[in-house]
Amino acid sequence: MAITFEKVNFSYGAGTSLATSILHDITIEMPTGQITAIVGQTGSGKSTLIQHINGLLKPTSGRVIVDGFELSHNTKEKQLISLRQKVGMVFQFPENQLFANTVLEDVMYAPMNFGVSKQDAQLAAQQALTRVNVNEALWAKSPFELSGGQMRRVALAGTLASNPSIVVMDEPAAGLDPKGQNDLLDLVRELKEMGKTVVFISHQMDHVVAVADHVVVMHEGEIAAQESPKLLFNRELSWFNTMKLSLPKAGQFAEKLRMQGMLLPYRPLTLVELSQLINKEVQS
Amino acid sequence: MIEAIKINNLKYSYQGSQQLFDDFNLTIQVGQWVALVGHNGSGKSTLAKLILGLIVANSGDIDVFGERLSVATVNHVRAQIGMVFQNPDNQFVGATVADDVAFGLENMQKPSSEMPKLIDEALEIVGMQAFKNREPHMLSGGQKQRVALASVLALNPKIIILDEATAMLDPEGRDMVMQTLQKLKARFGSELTLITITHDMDEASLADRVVVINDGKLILDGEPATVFSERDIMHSNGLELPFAGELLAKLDKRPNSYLDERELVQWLSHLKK
Amino acid sequence: MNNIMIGRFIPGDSWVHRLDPRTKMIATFIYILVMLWSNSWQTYAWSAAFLILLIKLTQQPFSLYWSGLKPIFWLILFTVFLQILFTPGEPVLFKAGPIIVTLPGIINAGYVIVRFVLIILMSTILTLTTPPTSIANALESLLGPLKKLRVPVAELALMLSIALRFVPLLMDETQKIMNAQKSRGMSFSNGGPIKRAKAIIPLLIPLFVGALQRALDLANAMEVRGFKDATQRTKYRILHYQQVDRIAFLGLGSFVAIFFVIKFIFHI
Repeated sequence: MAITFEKVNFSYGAGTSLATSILHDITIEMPTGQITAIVGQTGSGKSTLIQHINGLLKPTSGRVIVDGFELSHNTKEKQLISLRQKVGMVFQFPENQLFANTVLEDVMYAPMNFGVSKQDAQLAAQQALTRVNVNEALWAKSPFELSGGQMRRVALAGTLASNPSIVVMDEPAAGLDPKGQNDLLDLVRELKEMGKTVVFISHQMDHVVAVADHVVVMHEGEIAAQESPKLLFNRELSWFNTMKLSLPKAGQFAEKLRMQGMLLPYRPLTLVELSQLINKEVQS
Repeated sequence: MIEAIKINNLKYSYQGSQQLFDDFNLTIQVGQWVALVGHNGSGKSTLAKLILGLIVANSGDIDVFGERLSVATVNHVRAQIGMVFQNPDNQFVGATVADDVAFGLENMQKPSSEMPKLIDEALEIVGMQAFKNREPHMLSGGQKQRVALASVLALNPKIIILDEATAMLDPEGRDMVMQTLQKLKARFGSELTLITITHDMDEASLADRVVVINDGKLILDGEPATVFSERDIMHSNGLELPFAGELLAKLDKRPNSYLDERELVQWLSHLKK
Repeated sequence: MNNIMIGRFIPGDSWVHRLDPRTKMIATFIYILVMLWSNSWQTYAWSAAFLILLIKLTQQPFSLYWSGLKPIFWLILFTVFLQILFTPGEPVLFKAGPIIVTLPGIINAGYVIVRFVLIILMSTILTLTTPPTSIANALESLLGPLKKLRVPVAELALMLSIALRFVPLLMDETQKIMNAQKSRGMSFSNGGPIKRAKAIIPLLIPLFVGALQRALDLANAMEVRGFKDATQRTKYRILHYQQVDRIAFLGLGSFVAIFFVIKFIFHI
């Protein structure tokens, strides 16, 4: 397993009268080389959870094991640098983190911090920028001259340039238009092909179905489910209501058909699956 | 008949860069709900800023209710248009929900004694009166956007423009805002012209009319059913159809014309019977 | 989620919440002034008792106030340290080379702690029970006479209220950018002073750019809602003194009077 949470509890201001407990007894596994999606309503603890993967937060109790690195409440700040080298983290609206004079310099920031020589960092940055389709003509420009979509891709490159074996993303597609979203899903697939472990938070179930091998559902700071998308999205409808979770659009459509008396043999999760089922149904 | 907005031969270019709008024309009737759609960078948000006079066109005319936009009229024109922006945090001026709604009223120099009633009314329309004394950081994104809408409604605008107002929200927040818009439209009918700028087609399909823009050019314009029948054109402009539209294209047996989701479900279930 | 309590407002419906913000500001000011006259345990005890009564009246838990004190813990400690080391007098309790600890030094240090804590708690009562806009409004009203001297009081008050409104947001933003750069390997603990100063650039620039973007957005939002000039506006929250305020001033007056009586009796 690339990432294992063992009985992790987390609360802000632990030990004071104002302590607010955010995560309760989290035990999960995220398999190596696979794509894990984390879903759940806003405020269910998803962002707090992923900040434990690279030690931005430390568990109040329990431990997190990331590729052999053990993180617990008494892990020293100095040790974390080796963990952060393994784990690339992309936050929501990552374009807000850009700072350097040029696009290239910004992308070189992480590898340089991790002790890579300037030349190698430059090479890594160029490769990363190419991978996320940032045109070479932009490399010497200031990141603040770029469009929003380009800035997002530069920020992604900034995480990929240090060649992390695990990539964690918090709603990477938020605010992107349809094409930008599709490009991002392609990138996620590509990262998997390169052998990386990918973890991402998403509110869009269609994205989850499109790329995830494994889904973790969070609800009020606890793990409500961890299983394959296929198993998960075939659960009963009432369960989704209590979790405040939606079905993928194909599943929603199938439910509407069922209400009108058209019953499909099983709940489809993608557009293609849905259309095939309907075509078969209509033929017979 | 006077149009709500009439744009004639509009030309606009960013400082030093290429032409964004070149002889752009668009007319919006009073009481219409128009969805202005296009991919990021297509120029749709720029258009909204031009209408409000936040940026100035190189040439061409913009008329709002027959009044030509100019330096002299810009304040009067703005007084008739309300706008909700993308980022919920960056348009929350007041320290509490009530203070935020009050901000516009204070600018309009409404007497203090009338304000509580106007604030309550506006918050009631968007269903936020229970949150009157809350501070912004205690609200969700969807709630903040509804407050932004209330702040605009309190000023009694004839036109409301929502510039990607749901882009930064989670699905729950998005649904909240869209439901509020539908309620608004049902309540004010032809008294309110609504312009929603978006790249979410499920959102656009709620409008009376969909206008597709790319590179500052008008690509498609018509009722949702008409626009969404043009799947290839939509795709080549970086947009998708609403889910039902994409499904339609993949069915062996298809209806004669475009159907929205509800209609398609009906049609399919009848087919089976 | 942040733990910083300074300047935070907690909505409520207590007696203190309902006071006119000007009353609270004047009271805070007078209380702090009076503290400067306090020099015996009796006057401190009386001031503390009055403060505890006020805190009770705000209907907020003591723990909330306690957590408001924590950020200044080091500042208090530092001042106490200075007091202990540099107060001369008799009897000398401890002497080691240049370090001399005297009994008056210890007593003074104790007074300093109490004074610090009381002043901070009093200001916390003000900010905890008064929305930032009201504080700005109160300031505008109290500084009103300065308008005659062409001081742009209305503009300053509006600027203050907007600045206060964005403080939590910017703190949040700082945390987010810090997290992002830490994830990219940023570290403050390596290298010499120049290297460390340089390490803060990746934090400051995004923060600055973000704040500028917010400012531009906010300016647009304000303009669209008809903002032209800070002076040509009416006010939603009108300040007028009411019965509660009269009672509050009476209470404050009694506090001050008794304070000086105690001071007079015990320290002539």
